[in-house]
Amino acid sequence: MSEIIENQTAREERLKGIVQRIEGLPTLPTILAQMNRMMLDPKTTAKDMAQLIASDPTVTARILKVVNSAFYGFPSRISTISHAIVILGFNTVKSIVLSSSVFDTFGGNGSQDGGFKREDFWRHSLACGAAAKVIGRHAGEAALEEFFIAGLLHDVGKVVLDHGLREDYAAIRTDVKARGILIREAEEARLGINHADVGGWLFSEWKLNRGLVKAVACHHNPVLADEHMKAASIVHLADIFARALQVGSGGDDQIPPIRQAAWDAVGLKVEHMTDLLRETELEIVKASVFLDFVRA
Amino acid sequence: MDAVPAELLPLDKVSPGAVLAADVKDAKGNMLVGEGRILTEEWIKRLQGRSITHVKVRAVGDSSSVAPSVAPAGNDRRLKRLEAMFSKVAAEPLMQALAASARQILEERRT
Amino acid sequence: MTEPTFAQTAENLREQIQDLLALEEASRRIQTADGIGAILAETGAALQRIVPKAGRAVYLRTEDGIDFLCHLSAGASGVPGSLISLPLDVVDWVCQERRHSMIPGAGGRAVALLPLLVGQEVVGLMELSLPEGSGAGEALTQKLLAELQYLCGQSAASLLNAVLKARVEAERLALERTGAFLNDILESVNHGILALDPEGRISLVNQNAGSMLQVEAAELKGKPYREAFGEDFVRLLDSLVEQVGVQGFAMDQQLVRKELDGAELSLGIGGTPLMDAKGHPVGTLVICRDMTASKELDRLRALDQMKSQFVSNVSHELRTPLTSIKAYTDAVSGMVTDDTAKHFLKVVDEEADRLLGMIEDLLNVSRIESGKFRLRWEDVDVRAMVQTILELSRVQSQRHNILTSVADAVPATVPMDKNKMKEVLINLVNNAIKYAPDGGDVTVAVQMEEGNLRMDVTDQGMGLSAENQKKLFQMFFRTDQAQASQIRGTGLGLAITKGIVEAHGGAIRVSSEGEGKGSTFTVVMPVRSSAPQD
Repeated sequence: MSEIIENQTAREERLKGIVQRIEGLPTLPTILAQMNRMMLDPKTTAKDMAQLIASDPTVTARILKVVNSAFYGFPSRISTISHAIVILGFNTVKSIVLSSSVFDTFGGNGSQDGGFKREDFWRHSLACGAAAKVIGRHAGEAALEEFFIAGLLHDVGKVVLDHGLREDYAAIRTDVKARGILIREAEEARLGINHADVGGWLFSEWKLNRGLVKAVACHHNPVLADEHMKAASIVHLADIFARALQVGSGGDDQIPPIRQAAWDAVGLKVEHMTDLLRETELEIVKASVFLDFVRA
Repeated sequence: MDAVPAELLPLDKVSPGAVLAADVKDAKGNMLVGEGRILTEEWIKRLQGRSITHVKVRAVGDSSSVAPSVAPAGNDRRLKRLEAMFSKVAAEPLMQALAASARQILEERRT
Repeated sequence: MTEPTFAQTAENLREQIQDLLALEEASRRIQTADGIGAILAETGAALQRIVPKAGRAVYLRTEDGIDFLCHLSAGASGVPGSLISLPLDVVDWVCQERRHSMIPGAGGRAVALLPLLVGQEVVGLMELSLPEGSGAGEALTQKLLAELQYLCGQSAASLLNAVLKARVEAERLALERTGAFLNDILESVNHGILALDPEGRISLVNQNAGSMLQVEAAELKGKPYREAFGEDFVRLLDSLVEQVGVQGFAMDQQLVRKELDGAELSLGIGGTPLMDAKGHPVGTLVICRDMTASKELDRLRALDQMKSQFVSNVSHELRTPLTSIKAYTDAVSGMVTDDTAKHFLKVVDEEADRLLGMIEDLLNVSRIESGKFRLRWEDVDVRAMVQTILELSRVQSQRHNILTSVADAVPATVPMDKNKMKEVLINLVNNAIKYAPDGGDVTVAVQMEEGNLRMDVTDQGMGLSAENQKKLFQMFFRTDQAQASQIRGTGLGLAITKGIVEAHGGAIRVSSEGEGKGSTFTVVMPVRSSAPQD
C-alpha cells in the first residue's frame, strides 16, 4: 500500500473537522492542570505538590500503589506522597497522575456491542508502555518512565473516537474485520485521519509535554515528529513489539511493518531482539499494577 | 506468619541465592540490608567488607521465573496467529527477525 | 494561585540568572581542580552554597567496583576512609535505576542520595543530609534537584577523569620501581652479565661485565658484539652463541685477560638462551665469572695444607737434636766443678728448654689446625686448679697482685682436660702479667653463667685497640706494642688457648677499653653433666 505524502495543513484541517464532531470531548482533569501550573514555578516544593495530590484520595492511593509496586522496585516502603515525590521525582509522579486521569476518563467498558474490548485495549497499551521502557533503556535513554507513559497512552485516540464518534468507529471496526486491514488504514479511509492524530491533538489540548504529544501523534510515522523523532520511533517500535508478543489487542489482527527510518533512529541491534522481547515480558508483569486502575 | 526455618550462618558459609531471614546492621547500628534480600555473591562480598561475620538466612526456595507462562495448548494457537499476523510483511528482513524472535519466545514457554 | 506580576517575574528571572552563573562558576572550578581531593573540595563548596544547611558526603566506587568508599564528609553519615553505611539496597537501586533517591531518617531528617553519572556508569554517590525540621518535602524543589543533578554530572566527569589519571600514574610508578629494582639486581650480581639479541647486538650489559672485559658498559648498548670486543672474545662469543643455539646451553669457556698492571684476570664465560614468557628464544645470555678469586682460594688452601705438614715435620726434626743438647749439657754439667762453667751450662739448658717449649707450641698449633687435637676428659676440682695457678703466678711475679675468686654456684668438679685447661689459665695469667709491666692487679674470677662455666682474667696493663682485639687470636699475631716492647713471645699462645677452649665446646673473647686501659680475657665453656667417654 503506498503512502500518500500530503500536505500537513490539509490533514490538520480534516482533524479539526473531526474533532468538532466529537461529543463530550474530555477536558483536562483539574488536578493535572494544577500540577502543570505548579511545576512552572521552579521553587515548588515536594510538600506543595503532595498537598495538591492529597486533595484527591483516589489519585493518592493509586500513586502509592504504583510507587510501592515492582514497577519501581524501590527497596523500602514509600508511605507518603511527599516521600514518593522526593524519592521518584516530580515528573514521575506527574506521569502517574496523568495515566490515572486518562484511565479515569476513558477506562470504562466502552461500546456495548462488544466490538471494542477495553480490557484488551489497555493490555495492549500496557505492553506497549513496557516495550517502550525496555527499548528506551537499550537505546541509552534516561527518563524511562516518560517512554512508559507515552507507550501506555499512545492509542488513547482510539478510545476518544470510539466514545465520541461511535457509529463511525463501529463501521471502521467492521471494515477491519471484513477487509483484514490495519485499523489506522480503516480510519484513514473513512475519516481521513487516524487515532494517532487524535491522540496527539488531545494531549496538546491538555498542554502536555511536547515530546509526549509528538511521540503519540507520530507513532505510526515517526519522521513527522521533527526533533522528537527518536521518542516517536521508540513508541513506534514498542507498538509493533507489543503486537508481536500478542498481549491484548491493537484493534486488528495485523502487524504494521517496522519503518527503517525509525529503526535507524533508535539504533538497536537485530541480535538483541529476542532479549528485548523477553525483557518486555518481565516489564509487563511489573507494570501490571497499572491495570488495576482500569478495573478499580 | 511464615514458618520457614532460619539459621545463623558464618558469612563464608553462605552460598549465593540464600535469602536473608533478618535485617543486617553494621557495628554502629546502621541498617545495611533488609530481610528478604536474596544474597548474591556481590552482596556477600559487600557484607564481608564491613566485617559482618554472621547472618541469618532462610532455606533457599526454588526461584520461579517471573515470566508469564501459557498453557501448551494456548501456545499452538498463538503460533498459528503469529504466522497469520506476519504473513503480509514476511518480505521485510526486520520483520523476519522479529517473527523469529517472537517464535523463539513462544517455543521457550513450551519447556 | 494568582498570576505573577511583571515585577515578580523579573525578580524570578534575575534570581535564576544569578543562580545559573554561580552554578557555572562552580562547574568551572570543579573541572579545573587538580586531583581528586581538590575536585571533592570544590564540589563540597558548591553543595554548601546550594544547600547551606545540609550535611554532605561524597563516595567513590571501590577498586573492585562493588562498594562505595567515603572520600569527603561534613555533617553527613559518611566517615572518610570507611565504606558507605546507608542502606545498601537503596544504594543498589540508585545505581541500577541511575536516579536519585531519598532515605527517610528519624525525626523528619532525610538523606538524599544522588548518583554521580558519567554516561551510563555510576562513578560515585553524593549524600545530602537534610537538617532537622526542614523535612525533605520542603527542601526539595525542582530547581534544587536540577541544580544538584547538574553539579553531580560535572563532579562525576571530573572525578572519573582524576581517578583514571591516578590509576595510570600509579601503574607508571610501579613499573618504574620494578625497572629500578631489576636494574639494582643486575648491578649487584657479582658476575658480568651480557645479553645479545638474535642479531648479535648487545641489548644489555652490566657494570661488572664492563670492568671484566675492559670496555665502557654504557657505550656497548646496541652495538653488534663483533664490533665491541677484541678478536679472542669475539671468537669465544661466536662459539658460545652457536652452542646455545644448537644445544640450548654452552659449556663454560676460559678467557685470560691481562690487566693494565700486568696481573692476570681469569674469566669463566658461560651462556644460556634468553627466552621470553612464551618460551620463544629472543637472544643469548652471557655470564662472565671471575675465576681469579677462586683460584686464589685454591692456592691458599694448598699452601695452608703444606704449612701444617711442614710444621709438623720440622718440629719433630727440631726436637731430636735439642733433646741431645739437653742430655749432653747435663752430662757436662756433672763433669765440671767450676761455678761459672756450671752457670753457663745452666743457661744453655734453659735456652734449650725454651726452644723445646716453642717447638711444643708450634706442634700444638699444627695439631689444632689439622684437627688431630684430643682432650683427656676428667672431673676436675676447679677450686684446686685455681689455687695451683695462684701459687705458680706468685712465683712469676712479685710486682703484681694476683686475686682469685670462685663463685659458690660453681660445682665441686667440672669435666674438662685438666692439663690443657691449666695451660689455658696459666697462659692467660702470664699474658696478664707480661703485658702489665708496671704491675697492678691481675684478677682471676670463676663463676657460672646460664649453665656455662665462665672464667675472666683481668689485668691493668697496656690494653688493646679495637683493631687488635679482632686479630688477637690469629696465629703468630703480636700487637705492635708487644713487638716494640721487650716482651718475648711467639704469637702462638693465644691461638693455642683458643684451640683448647674451642675443643671443650667453649669460646674465648677479649675486651679492652683501649690502649693503656687494661684488658679482660673471658673463657666460656658449657658444663657437661659428666666427662664424655672418648
